[in-house]
Amino acid sequence: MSAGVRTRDPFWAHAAAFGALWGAVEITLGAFVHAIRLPFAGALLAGAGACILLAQRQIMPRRGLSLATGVVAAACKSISPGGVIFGPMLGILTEAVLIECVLLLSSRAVLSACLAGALAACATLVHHVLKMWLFFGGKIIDLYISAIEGAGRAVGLGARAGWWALVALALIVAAIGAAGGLLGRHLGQRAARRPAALPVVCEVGDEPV
Amino acid sequence: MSRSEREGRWTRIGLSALALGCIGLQFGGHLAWSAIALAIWLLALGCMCREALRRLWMPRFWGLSAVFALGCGLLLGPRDLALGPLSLSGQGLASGALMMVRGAFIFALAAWASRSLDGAWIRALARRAGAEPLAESIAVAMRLLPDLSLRLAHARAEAQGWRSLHGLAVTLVAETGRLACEMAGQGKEAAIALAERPAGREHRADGADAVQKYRGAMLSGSPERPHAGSQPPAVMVAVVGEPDSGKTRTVELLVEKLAQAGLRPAGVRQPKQLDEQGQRLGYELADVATGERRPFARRAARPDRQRGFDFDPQGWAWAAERIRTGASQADFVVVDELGWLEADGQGHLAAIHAAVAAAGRARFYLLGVRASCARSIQARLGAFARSIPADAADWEIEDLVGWLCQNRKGRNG
Repeated sequence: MSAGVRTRDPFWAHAAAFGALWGAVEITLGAFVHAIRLPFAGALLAGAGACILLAQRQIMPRRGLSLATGVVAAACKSISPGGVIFGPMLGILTEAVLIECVLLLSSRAVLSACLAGALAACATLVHHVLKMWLFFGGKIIDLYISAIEGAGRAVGLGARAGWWALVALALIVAAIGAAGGLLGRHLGQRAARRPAALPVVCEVGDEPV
Repeated sequence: MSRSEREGRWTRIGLSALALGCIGLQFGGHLAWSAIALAIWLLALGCMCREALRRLWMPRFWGLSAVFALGCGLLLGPRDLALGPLSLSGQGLASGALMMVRGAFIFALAAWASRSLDGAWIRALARRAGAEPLAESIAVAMRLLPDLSLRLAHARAEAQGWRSLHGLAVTLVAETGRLACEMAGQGKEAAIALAERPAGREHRADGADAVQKYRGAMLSGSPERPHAGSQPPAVMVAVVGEPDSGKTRTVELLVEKLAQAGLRPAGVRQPKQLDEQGQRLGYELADVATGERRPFARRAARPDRQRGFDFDPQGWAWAAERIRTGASQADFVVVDELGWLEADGQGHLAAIHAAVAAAGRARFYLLGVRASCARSIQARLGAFARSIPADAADWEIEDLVGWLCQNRKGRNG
C-alpha cells in the first residue's frame, strides 16, 4: 500500500474513499449533464450523491459517516475548474446534512432511503432560491412570485396554477432524488452480499448490521 | 516565507479590506453607490488578481442577470415608461439595475474568494480546528480523485446497456468499500479472495476487473507483474489522454520537474512532426537523456496500412536500446505515446518488459498513454500506480512529482 494513500480509522477511510467517489461523480457526471444541458441536472446530481451515501451506509452503518463524506466531497469539489465553487460546495454539504439527519433515524429502511434522497434533491431547489437571493437581493423573490403568478394567469388558469406547477416541479425533483436513494440502498446491499464480502466495522452505539 | 509569498499575503489582506469596504458601500441599496463599489472592486481585481477577473467570463450568468433586470421592469411596479412597443415600470427597471449590479459584485467577490479556497487551505483549516482525521481524509480523497475520475469516465464510455451499468455500479460500490477497508488496514483476506476469484462470466460482465486494477494500483503502488531479484518492482506512472490532448507536453513538464528534484531521466519521447497547416505528418523519437532525435514514423501513403503510419524498424531498436540502458542507469524511464500497437502487445512493450525484468536502477516508468488503450496496456504492463490526465491541473502535477520523489526515497532509504 502506498504510504500516501492510507488512513488508519475505518470511519475516516470510508469517508475518504466514498467522498472521493462522490467528488469524481460530481466532476465526470456533472460535466456531462451540464455539457448536454440536461433538464433537472441539479436534481440528478443530488440523486447521484444520495445514491452514494445510501450505498455507503449499507456497507458501513456508522452515525455521522454521511456528513463526514459530504465534507470530504465538498473539499474535493474545490479543485473543480469552475469560476465560483462556493455554491456547489455548499450544495453538497447541505445534501449531506439532510441525508445524515434522515439516516440517523434508520439507515437501512426503504422509507429512509426515499426520504433522504427526496430531501437532498429538493434541497437543490431551496439552494437555488437562496443563491439567487444572496446574489440579487430580496427583490428576486418578488420577481419569482410575480413570474409564477403571471405565468398562471397567462395560460388562463389563474394565479394559483403557477404555484401548482411549482409543486409539480418539486415532486419531479423529489422523485428523482428518491429514486437515487433507493438505488443507493439497493446497490449497497448488493455490494455487501458479494463473495468475499467486506468486513463490517461497528462500534458500541452504532446501528446493528 | 519567500518574498513572493509575503507579497501574495499582503495582496490578499489588501483585497480583503477593500472587499469589506465595497460590501459596506452596497448596504445602503443605492444604485450609484453600488455601481461605484462594483467599479472599485473590478478595478482592484484588474490590477491585483487578473485570474479572478477572467473567471467572470460566464455568459450564462450575465444573460440571466439581464433577463432578471428586464423581468423586474416588466413585472414589478406600475408601468409608467414606454420603450418602443414595451411598457415598462421605471421603478422596476431601477430595482432590476440595482439587482444586476449587486449580482455582478457578489459574483466578482465569490470568483476572487474561490481562488483561495483550494484543498490545501481546507485541510489547513481542518487541522487548525483540531480535526486532524478529517484533514487526512481530505488529503487521501484528493489523491484518489484523479484516478477515480479517469476510471469513471472510461467506465461511462465502456458501459453498454442497463445490466452492464448496474453491474458496474455494484462493483464500484463494493470496490470503494474494500478500498476504504484496505486503507484502514483491514480486509486483506477479502482483497486476496477477490484477486484470486476466477474470471468467470459475472466477473467479466460487471467490470470488476477494471475496478480491481484501480484498487490494486491505488493501494499497492506497484505493478502486478513478476520482477527479478530482491529489488522492489518498478512503478508504472501514466499520463493518459487522447491524441493531441497534450500528453507529450505534460510528460515533458514532469520530466523537467523531476530532473529539478534531482532525479535522472532516460528513455524516449515521441514528439509529433507537423506540416505547415498543423496536420500531423508523423513522429520523431527523442532521447530524453541526450536530446538526440531521429525520424520514426511517417503517415502511411496507403490508407490500409496498420494504424495509418509507416514505422522505421530501426527506430524500435533505437528506442529499445535507450529504454534498456536507461533502466539500468537512470532513476526513471520515459516512454511516450503508448497506443494501439502496445495494446496489441507490440511496439515498445517488449522493451519495457525486458527493462522491468532486468530490475535495474530505475524505480519508475513515466508513460504517455492513449486513453482508449489504457485498459489494455494495463492488462499487459500491470496497473498504473498513479495516472493523471493529459490536461492535468498544476496541483495534480505537483502532487505526482511529490509522490514520485517520496516513493523513490522510500525505496532507496
